[in-house]
Amino acid sequence: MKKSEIFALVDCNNFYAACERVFNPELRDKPIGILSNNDGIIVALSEELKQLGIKRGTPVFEIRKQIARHDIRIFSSNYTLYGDMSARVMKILTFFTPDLEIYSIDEAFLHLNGLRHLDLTAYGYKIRNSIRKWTGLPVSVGIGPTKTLAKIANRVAKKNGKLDGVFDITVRPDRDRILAGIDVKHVWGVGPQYANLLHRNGFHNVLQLAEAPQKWIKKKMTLVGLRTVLELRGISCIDLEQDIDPKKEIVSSKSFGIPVLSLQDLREALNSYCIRAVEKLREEKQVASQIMVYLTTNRFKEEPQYANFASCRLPLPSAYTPDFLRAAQTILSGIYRPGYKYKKVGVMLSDITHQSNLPPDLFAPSYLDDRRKKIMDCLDSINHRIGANCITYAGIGKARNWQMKREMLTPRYTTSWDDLPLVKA
Amino acid sequence: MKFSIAKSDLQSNIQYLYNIVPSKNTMPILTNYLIEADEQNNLLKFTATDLEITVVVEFQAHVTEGGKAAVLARNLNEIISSLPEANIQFLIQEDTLKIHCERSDFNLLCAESSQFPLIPQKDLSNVIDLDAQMFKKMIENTHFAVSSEINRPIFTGIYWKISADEQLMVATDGKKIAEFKIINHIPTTELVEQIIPTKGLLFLDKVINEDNKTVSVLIESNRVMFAYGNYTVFTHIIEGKFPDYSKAIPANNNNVLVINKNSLRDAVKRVSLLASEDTFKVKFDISEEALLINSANREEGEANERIEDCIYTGEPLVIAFNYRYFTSILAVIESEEVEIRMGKANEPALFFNKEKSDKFTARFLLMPLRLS
Repeated sequence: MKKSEIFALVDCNNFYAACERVFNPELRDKPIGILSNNDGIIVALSEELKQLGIKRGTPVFEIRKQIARHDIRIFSSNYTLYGDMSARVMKILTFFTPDLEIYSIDEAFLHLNGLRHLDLTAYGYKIRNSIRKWTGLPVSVGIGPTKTLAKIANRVAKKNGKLDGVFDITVRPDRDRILAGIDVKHVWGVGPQYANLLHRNGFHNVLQLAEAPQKWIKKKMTLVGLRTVLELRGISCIDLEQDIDPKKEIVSSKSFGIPVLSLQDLREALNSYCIRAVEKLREEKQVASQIMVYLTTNRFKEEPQYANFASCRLPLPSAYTPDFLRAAQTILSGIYRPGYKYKKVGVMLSDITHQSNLPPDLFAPSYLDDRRKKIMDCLDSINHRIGANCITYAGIGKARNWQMKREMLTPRYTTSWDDLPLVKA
Repeated sequence: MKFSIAKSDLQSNIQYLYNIVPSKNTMPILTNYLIEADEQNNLLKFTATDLEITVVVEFQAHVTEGGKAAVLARNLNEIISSLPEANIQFLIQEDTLKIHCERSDFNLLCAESSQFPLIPQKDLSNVIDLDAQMFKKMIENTHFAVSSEINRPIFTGIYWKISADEQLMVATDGKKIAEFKIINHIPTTELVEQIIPTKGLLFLDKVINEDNKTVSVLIESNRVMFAYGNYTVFTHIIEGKFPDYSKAIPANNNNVLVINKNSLRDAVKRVSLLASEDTFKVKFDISEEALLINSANREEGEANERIEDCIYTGEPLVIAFNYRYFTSILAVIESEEVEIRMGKANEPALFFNKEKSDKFTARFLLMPLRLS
């Protein structure tokens, strides 16, 4: 437990919709909705769409009439674009502090301890303006003595238009009044169940939660809840990255756009998900020893049903994609049954450990010490520089009939030469 | 089938047999003991098997009627343990084993004994006789280093080599090696090299005591038979070639630490209380002045211990080990002091008994963990 820390949370506003707007100025002020995989439901909304009363999770067919009436623009999710824009934002943030924790695709915590001599509100505007100018994306910056308070400051910055996107709660003498105006359900780490529990017990706003008896909190909300309360009191308990447990499992799976019958198509889809899962493993500098493959038909349809899974262990932990592809295909051969219309196939990696904890082996080279790591580093570096899947495995096939439905997909403006936006003058 | 026996006699003979009964098996008959009673010789025979290892124990009882029955091992064990110290009477009536002891009566349903797998015949005609205590010592000094990873089956057993003048046992899991060699004089001309599953050897380790001096061994192409006292153990052999582990053993480890085994073990155990539960990493900072042992766990804190009562010759060295493996090696070091020979921080370390024996040689190798 430490005191006197300074954190900033930088959060991109309506990130997916904002990415679409960057390359299509016509979308400015228009309500925008981004669809889930297979174009089923709305998963991300612009502020204008929220104001029309449409909620996240709404199936797109339910709002057909409103789409026409309000000129709502609907897009398939373009994760290639969002991922690349996110990487650009994070890169800019590294210019402002080396102590950075990327918390999600559109959020990052910055450790600003060494900059307390500066006017941090002005520094927040500098961050906000730089990102706006260099990427076209709007962000909000919340500054606080703990990560939890930085999250709350970010919420205030976003909700209060007068603040122009930056709020430093550390310099506010009226912190208690601000906290009293926010419902506990908006506190980082308080989920719906805990929010209900707190409401039932008379803790409605954040100030009440901050002043709650420690013993009661520890009993009802465990040590994690107590850490949240201490953080609300300004005592920093969650270091950068410390709160993020290393991933115990990595899952990669998507429903198919159309039912898949053939083993070949399933193999290609499984390879594709397996490649992605192992990429994620390497992104986190981890290795895994166990792989599970599962497949299922569509249980919502009146047709023969089948689902199964199986797993196997690798001889030694690895992050080398071919090690996992071989294992995945062997498993799939064992659980595939012909004659069913498959809806989904997926892969889960488990028994994961950080590369630095990989024990050396006397009789077999470990992933870190042989050419497998060099090959993967090379592959990742080319794909990072030139574009995702620029080099990939032939096992994912060419036709990819199984790919998910994305009928309203915008171009990959930043990662594909063919999709570069044209400027006409 | 009808027999009676004192509870203590029965219990002492079958106490380790339950270890052989598989806990999970698709063949329900294997969860039974096969009991055979021989009226002529007043002999009882209990058999348990998991198909890979079969153990037969024979002992005297008062048999009034011979016969055979397969009885659920768990039930029988629990019933015998619960009974008072007295004579127990067993009687088979149709498909039920009736057990009577003082005021207690149990009726235990039997399985079809004909379904029990065939038991190999005990054959003592071509056996090699080995010193039982030294055999036990070899198992105890090596079994802890075997692997539990079924992906590498050859590492799940102990490599055993017998020649006319020496015996060698080696176990490894790729992270540590335990090697134990004894000098002997066995009337055999052929060299025997096999990988024996640990389960059968650990059973023998449990039953070998001071009463019987010899273990008789018969090695066949795919099976080994061990006969010791009342017990006969048949175990399959793990197929495959044991790796040439000698290549992994460094020749020039010139950083040598000599230290009291117990004080080192106690210090490591204390420091390990705050070691990471993922890596079990404990760091050793060694110089001629002192040995510093350290562990750190970001969530819980850190632990340090300084030992000056040791002799170190070599370059200052920082090296990390899995404390579980480290203490498992110290547990089999017999001499008061252990000698640890190290190279660089990423090279394997060798452990020896400081005081040498003229009956055996033992050496243990441990791979260090990455420092960062």
